[in-house]
Amino acid sequence: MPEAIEAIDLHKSYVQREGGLIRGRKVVVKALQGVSFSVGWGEIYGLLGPNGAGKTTAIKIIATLLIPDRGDARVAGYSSVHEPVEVRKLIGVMLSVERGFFWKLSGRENLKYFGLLYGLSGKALEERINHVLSLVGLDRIGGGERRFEEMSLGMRARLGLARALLKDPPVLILDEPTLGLDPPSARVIRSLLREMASEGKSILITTHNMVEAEILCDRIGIIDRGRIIAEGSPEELKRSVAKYSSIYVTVSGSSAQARVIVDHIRAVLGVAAGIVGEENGVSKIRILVEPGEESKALTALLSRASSLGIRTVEHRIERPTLEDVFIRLVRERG
Amino acid sequence: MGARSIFLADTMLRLWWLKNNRVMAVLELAWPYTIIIVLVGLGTSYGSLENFKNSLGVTDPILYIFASSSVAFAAVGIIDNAASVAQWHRWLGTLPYIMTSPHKLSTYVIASGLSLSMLTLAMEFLVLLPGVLYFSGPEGIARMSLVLAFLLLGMLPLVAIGGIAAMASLMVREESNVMGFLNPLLLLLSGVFYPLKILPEILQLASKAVPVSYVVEAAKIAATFQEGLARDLFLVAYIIAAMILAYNIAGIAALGGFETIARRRGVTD
Repeated sequence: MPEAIEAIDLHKSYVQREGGLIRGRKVVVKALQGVSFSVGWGEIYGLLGPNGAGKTTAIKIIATLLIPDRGDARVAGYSSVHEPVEVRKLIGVMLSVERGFFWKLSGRENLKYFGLLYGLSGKALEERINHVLSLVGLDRIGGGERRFEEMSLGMRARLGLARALLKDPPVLILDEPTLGLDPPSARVIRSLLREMASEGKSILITTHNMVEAEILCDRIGIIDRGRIIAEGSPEELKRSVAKYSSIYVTVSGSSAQARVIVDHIRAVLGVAAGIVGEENGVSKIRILVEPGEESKALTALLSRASSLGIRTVEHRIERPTLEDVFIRLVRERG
Repeated sequence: MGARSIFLADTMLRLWWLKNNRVMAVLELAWPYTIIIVLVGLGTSYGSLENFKNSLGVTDPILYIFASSSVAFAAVGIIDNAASVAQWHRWLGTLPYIMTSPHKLSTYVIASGLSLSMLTLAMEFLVLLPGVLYFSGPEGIARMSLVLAFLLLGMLPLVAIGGIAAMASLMVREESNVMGFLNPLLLLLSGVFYPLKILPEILQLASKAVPVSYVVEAAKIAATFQEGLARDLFLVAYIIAAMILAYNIAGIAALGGFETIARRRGVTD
């Protein structure tokens, strides 16, 4: 069975004109330089990258809006370049939260228009519109009858998602679906996407919201200057740049007492630990553990300190974040 | 599916749009009369309506003006309409969603342009009905209907050119119909404002290749309709039918290439 989405060695350049009409010159911008990735069925894949990295160009090619200079994109095995009509039958697209609808038409009229265009009609179309409006929660807040121009950004985003779901496509392609939304609205959209994925839909999203990518995506491709520079699950990516989480524990007592705790942790858990500071009768201990082992190590340390009668002043765990990964990878490339 | 679903969707879209933009709807309904006032004024610049009638060679100049002006504007309008539909969708940000519907963009701009032209025409016909009835009676309505039929026929040769205008306007990223410069030329060569016989010989020759000139001719025949002229009307119909084939076969062949170039360049923003 072919993958839901495959991007195969995508190259795309744009020619831009800089300067005036007479003294201007043409500049070639390489938007994509050999981008390849794939999205499985029921998977949420995030393309994460800074502005101008090539995220939108990549998804426009997959969505049949652009033809690459080289390479191909496939949706369920159909080529976006050579079989665009077949691909369009399989995808639901959301490219902008703010625009993309007829301002003077109500939410329902807008959906009817796109439904008719997608080949739905009559009772089947009415039922489908009612279903998607209820799915995105617009029916409860009167979004179906309100004109697009009168809708909040959150309502517009929901309407955009409703349109993408109108023909019940197995593949969703969403360009920054929560951009500019307030946290509650963004949370609604994210939970809807999770629900869609659990029903077997494949979802490709672009974002530069690290938190969103981390909690939403099964796999992430980090794209920078037209190339995928890292790919994997959020955990794999974090592990690739920071192999350990740091646990900092401040204990009251001399360094000798702190040393006892450190030796115990080293012996029992076999992890790196040491004293990183001592001042005014308090010592600061740092333990390095593999991600996922933080709670076990912290519990062991607190229990040993308690058995020695040593008071712990504070503790905190520093886990590598996707932002660390992103900044480090992008910075490494200059 | 195909062109039929596009036509239906776009017709509904315009009806909803008019329903939700009432002032605009009233203005749309009033403009044919505005045009007529201008044209009657133009007609009286010949000295009187009688002189105008003689110089045009028609027995019913009012009907002729009613019919031929709407004929010429609507027939040429297919080019503008197809181009403006594409521009409108780009402004609104709806173009990517049109392009990701299961239709070719070229099919969409043609079917949508036709929908807009036919709806405009139907509205004009309904709006002009009282005026024609008042000036020319029930016979005028019959003639007007005949003209309408020719108008629908006359729009068709320009359909593919309308599609090319739409694609070209998107590709050069201009915010207007880049082939709009053709309209005044087409109107001049149609003979709607000046009788063709007063034009230079080369323009008279060029007018033979312009479908709109045959539609205007049909309007003129309908305005002077007498027994025996039916044969002339059939002749005009045959010429237009031949043009529909010739223009659209060439135009549609070119449109495929235009669509590929448009997708290569990216036209959605």
